[in-house]
Amino acid sequence: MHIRINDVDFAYGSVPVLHGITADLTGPKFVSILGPNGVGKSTLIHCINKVLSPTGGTVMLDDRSVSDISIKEMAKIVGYVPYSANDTFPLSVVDTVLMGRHPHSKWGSLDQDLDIVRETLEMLGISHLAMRSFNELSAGQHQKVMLARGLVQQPEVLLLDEPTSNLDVRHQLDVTKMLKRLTEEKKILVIMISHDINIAAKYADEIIMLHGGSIYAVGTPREVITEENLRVVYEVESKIIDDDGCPHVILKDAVPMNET
Amino acid sequence: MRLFPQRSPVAEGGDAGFREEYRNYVWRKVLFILVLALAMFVLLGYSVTVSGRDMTFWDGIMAIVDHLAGVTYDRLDDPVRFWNDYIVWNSTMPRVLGAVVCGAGLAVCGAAMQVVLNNPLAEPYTLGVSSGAVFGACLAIILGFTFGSLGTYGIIGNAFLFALVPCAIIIVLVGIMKGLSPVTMILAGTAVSYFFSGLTTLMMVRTDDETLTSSFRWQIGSLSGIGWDNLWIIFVGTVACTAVLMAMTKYLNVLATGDRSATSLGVDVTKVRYTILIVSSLMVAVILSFTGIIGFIGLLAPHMVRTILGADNRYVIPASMFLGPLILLFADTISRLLAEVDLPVGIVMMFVGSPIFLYILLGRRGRRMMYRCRRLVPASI
Repeated sequence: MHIRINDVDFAYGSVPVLHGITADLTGPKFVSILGPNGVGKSTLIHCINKVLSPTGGTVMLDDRSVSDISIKEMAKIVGYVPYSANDTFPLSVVDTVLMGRHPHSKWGSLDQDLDIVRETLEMLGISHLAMRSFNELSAGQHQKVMLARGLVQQPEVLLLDEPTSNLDVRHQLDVTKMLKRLTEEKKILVIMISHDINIAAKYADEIIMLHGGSIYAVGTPREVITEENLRVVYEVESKIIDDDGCPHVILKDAVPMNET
Repeated sequence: MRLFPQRSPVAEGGDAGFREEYRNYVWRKVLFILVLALAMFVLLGYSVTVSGRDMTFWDGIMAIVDHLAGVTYDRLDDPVRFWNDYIVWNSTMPRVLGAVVCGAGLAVCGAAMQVVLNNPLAEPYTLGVSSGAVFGACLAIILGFTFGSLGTYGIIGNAFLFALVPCAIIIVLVGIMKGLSPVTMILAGTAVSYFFSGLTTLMMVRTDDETLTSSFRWQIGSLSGIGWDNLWIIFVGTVACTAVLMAMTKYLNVLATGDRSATSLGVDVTKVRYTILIVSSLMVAVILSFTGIIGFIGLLAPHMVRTILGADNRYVIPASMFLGPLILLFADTISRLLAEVDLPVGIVMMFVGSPIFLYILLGRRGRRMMYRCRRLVPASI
C-alpha cells in the first residue's frame, strides 16, 4: 500500500491546523508521527482515513484519491486505533473487538470473525478479559482492546493515535514491538502517533516530525531525532546518545521561554 | 446478583470453545428477552380482565378465547357473558393492546435516542417532539386551527404534524451548520422546546377555563382514547419504525463508539444518525398524537435492560420492546385497579417510574451512568 499526501491543508473553521503537508509512505513500514501537543498529528491521520476532509490538497491510496473511496471500503483498507474510547454505552470486550469486523462482516461470517477476535485477544494477552464489560477495565486494558479492534479490521494501513500512552513501560515496549512485528509479517503500513521519542526511535523505520502544522523533518530516526530538531520542535535541551544504532534521547531541560 | 457471570472462557477449548462460549453468552441474553416477552403476554392476559366489571381472570380469558373461536352470546339469554365479551373486546382489549404498542414504541425509541445523542438521559421527547405536539393540539383545541377536519382527528393531525417540527428544525440547522454534535442537538432541542412551550402557554393563559382544562388534560398521557378505529394506525406506525430501528442495531453499536471511530469502522455517521432521528420522531409523533405525553417509559425501560443485559443494542432494543409494554401495562392496570374514575396512565407512570429510576441511579451501574452523564455535560453550561 502506498499513501501519497499531496500539499494537504486542514482548518477547523477559520483556525488553520495543517498546511502544505506532503509525504510519500509505502508499506510495509512502521512510521511514527512525532510532534508537540496541538500540532495536528491526529488531524493528519484523520485526513488519511477520511474522517476529516482536507480543505486543500489530496490524499491518495495507491492511485485512488481518498475522496473517491467509500467510507465502508476505507474501513476495509485503513484501520484506526483511537487515543481513548467512548464508554458511555459499554459492550463486552469480545463484542467491542468484534465491532472491528463490521466492515467485513456478512451473513454467516460470525464464526470466522470470532476466530479472528480470539487470535487477536490472545496475541495481545487479554483473552482472559473477553467476557468482561469494557468499562470495568483499566485505562491500559482499554488501549489494548482498542488495539485489538483495529487489528481485527485486518487493514493494509493501520493508524494509531498514541496507542501506548496509558500503558506501563513493559507493555509500551511489548505493544510497539508487536506492531513492528505485524508490519513485517502482515506486510502492512503502520502509522503511529507517539509522544515517546525513544520508543519511536527504537522501533520506527521512518519518523515524520510535525511543527507548526507542517512537516519539519522526515526520515530515519537517526536523521530526524537530533538535538537541534528537538530544541526547535519540542523546545527542550537534550542529549542524543547511540543505543545499538538507534538514537536515544536524554532530556536535560526546557528551553527558556525568551529563547523560543 | 449477576445474571450473566463475567468469566473468561477463552483460554480453554480453542476456537470451537470460544465460539461455543460466545453462543452461550448470546443465548443467555436471548433467553432473558424471551422471558420478558412471556411476562408481557401474561400481564397482557391479566390486564385484559381488569375492566371495572365483576369478572374473574378466567372469565376474561374465556371471553377472549370464545371470541376468537367465533362464539357469540345473546344479550338476553346470557347477559353476563355477553357483557363480558362486549367490555373485553370493545373497551379493554384495544386499550391493553394500545399499551403494548405504545410501550414498545416509546421504549425502543428511548433506547435509540440515547445512543444517537450519546446521552444516557436522552428520551423520546428530548428533541422537543412533545412540546411541538402539545402546541399543535392546543392550536386545535383553543384556536380551532387544524390542517384538516375538526374534532378529535383534527387535534390528532395537528399534534402529529407539529411533533415533527422540532426534528425538522434540527435537521435544517444541521444542514446550515454542516453538522451538529449530539450535545448541540440536545441543546437545540431544548431551545425549540422552550419556544413551543412559550407559545402554548400564551394560548392557554388567554383562553377560558373549560378550554384550558381540555387542553391541559390532553397533555397528560392516557390510553383511554385508544380504540379499534385508531389502534391500527399506531400499530402500523410503531411496527414499521421499530422494524427499521431493529435493523439498525449493529449500526447503533458502532455509533456508540463515537463519531470518529464509527466513521473509521465504515459507518456513515450522518446518514445513520439522521435516519434514526427521523424514524424515532415519526414513531413518537404517531404515539403522542393519540395518547398525549406518557413519560418515563423511554428512559426507564432501556436503563433497566442495560442494567441486566449490558449495553449491546442488538439485545437492548428487542428487550426494551418487551419491557416497555410490561411497564406501561403494569401502570395502566394499576390505574384501572385503583381508580374509581379513569386515572390517566401518564400520572401513574410518574409515580411508578420515579422510584424505579431512582433505584437504578443509586445502584452500582447507575452511579457509573451518572459519572458518564457528568462528563457529557458541556463545559459551557
